[in-house]
Amino acid sequence: MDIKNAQFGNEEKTVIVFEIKHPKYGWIPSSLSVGPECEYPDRCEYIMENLDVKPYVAPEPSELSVYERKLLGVEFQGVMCSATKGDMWGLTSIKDWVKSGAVVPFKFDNGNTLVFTNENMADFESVWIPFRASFFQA
Amino acid sequence: MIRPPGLNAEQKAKVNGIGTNGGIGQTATLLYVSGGGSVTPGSIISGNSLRYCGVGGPANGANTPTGSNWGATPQGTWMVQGHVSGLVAGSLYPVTSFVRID
Repeated sequence: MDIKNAQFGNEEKTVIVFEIKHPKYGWIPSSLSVGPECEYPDRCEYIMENLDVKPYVAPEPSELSVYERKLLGVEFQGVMCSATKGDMWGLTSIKDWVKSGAVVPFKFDNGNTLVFTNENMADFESVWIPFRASFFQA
Repeated sequence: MIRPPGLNAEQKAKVNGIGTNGGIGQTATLLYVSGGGSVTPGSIISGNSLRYCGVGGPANGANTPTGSNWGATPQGTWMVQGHVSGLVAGSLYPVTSFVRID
């Protein structure tokens, strides 16, 4: 198979990115899931058995756009919590409910979930609000 | 005369680009995860840099559609069919139609 430059596409090693030679377009970038969801199992097998798959390299924060940095988020209790406008409105809508005693698993726009309780909401806000506010400083 | 076996439904779907995994020739509305910038017809992008995406249409028909949350990440390789430019870098990602080429 004409495949080269394989690298893991994420830290979890569930995606591989590589270049493959296309009969019409030449060398093109491509990606596949690793495991049972791989759409081309023979390619995945070939890559994992024959190529040196480079480790994932996360982009430097300075290289990320403003939105990407919001989506990357800030870490709280081991969870990266994104800080988009949608996250802000969602958190605002559950705040009083959590403070009344409800336990709410909140899904952030970046796909991560944090379970909010009356015990952790204040600590979360002390981390998340300054992070969110950092995007609006002159 | 002995006829060779034809394609089963799953194989036909793969060839015709239909189904949840699609296949070569499948078209989709995708978001290119890149800070602002532009995309032009013919650009070739890896699936790992794309997300399924769409818009929400208001029920009363009076207001303009709004964007939706991102969907799953497609596999394979996709070619841009539309054109997006003039976005504010860092705040908006290009969304347009793509066709799968691999």
